[in-house]
Amino acid sequence: MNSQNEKILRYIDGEMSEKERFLFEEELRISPDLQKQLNTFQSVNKVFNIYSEPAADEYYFRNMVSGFRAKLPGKLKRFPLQSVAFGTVSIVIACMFLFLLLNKSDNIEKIAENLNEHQLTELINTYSSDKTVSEVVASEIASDASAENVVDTLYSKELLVAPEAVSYYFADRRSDLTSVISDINQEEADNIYNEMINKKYY
Amino acid sequence: MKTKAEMSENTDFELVKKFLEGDESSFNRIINKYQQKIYWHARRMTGTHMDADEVVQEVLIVMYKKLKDFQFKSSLYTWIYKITSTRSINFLNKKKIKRFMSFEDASSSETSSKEDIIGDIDTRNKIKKLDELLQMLPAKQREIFILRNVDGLSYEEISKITGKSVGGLKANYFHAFNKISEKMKNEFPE
Repeated sequence: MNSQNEKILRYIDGEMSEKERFLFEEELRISPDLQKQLNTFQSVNKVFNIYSEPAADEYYFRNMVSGFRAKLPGKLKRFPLQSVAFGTVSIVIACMFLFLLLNKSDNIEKIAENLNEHQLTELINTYSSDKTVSEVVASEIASDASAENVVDTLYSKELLVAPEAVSYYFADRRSDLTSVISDINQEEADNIYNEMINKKYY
Repeated sequence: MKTKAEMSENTDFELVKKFLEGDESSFNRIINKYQQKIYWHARRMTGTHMDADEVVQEVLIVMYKKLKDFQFKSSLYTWIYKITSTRSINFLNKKKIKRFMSFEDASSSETSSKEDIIGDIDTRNKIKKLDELLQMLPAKQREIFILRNVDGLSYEEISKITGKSVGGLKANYFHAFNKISEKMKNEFPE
């Protein structure tokens, strides 16, 4: 801002000392341009005077307090972010829980779905004999099939059928094979076999 | 002998203290004391009664929630002005974005400007023209012009409110003055 404009503003704002004001007024007398500039600034001030606090409807101001009280927290809240976030998380957890609950089924088809073609064929060939589950597993072990793989297969089949049995079996893969097999009864083994047949041939 | 300002500050201090101690009526008295200043400052910043009213409600809620953090480092008056300026500028920015997103034009807000608390038609028309002049300025420049020219605050007080240097404020004020005086030649011919 140049010095002349600053002087004008200081003069209008009444910030000049007596001496400064005297000198400025002398300058005004000899400079029409300065006088014109000052007139412009003064007219702006004059016009905006009416905007200081114009007469207005007092009813609005009388009711400002009661209007504000009516909208206080409890009634007026900004978007309740915390409540919505909590509610959303609760709903999601509930849905997940429901989903897991509903999907816990005794659907034996799932056991067969997890086997590939080669495994399916092998297992069908194995179980199509009249041997019991114990005998089949024993022969698997005897025929170099890794005991661990057999246990894994039996685990996954059993757990798919009955997920609640998770806690019933050891998670440790070194669990005794015999004790695991003894928990799968013949009826369950037969059901698994039937599903494998269905998957392969139907 | 205390000055008027010092007496007012003491009163403000007592009102705030009582409010923080649980006296809700003290807050009502604070509102009654400053409501006109809050409203008119918001009105000059936003340009319409409806928008000013919305800003006023926001300001009162902020004051109610934040008064417990006010430490009398400035006067209560300055603190309230700061909140009002900030809320007004935020409101204007939000309005700009809303307008942009919904492809509204400025004339769609005219319906809201019909409601006004200024009873006298002549005064209302003059103020409408002044609002139009002020809206021509960028929000921050408008804020400085209003605080200095209309509210009569000193540059030091404005500096506390806006956070700008006194030199910067003077320059801004002068630019605003120039723009408005140019426009006024057409709107308010002598």
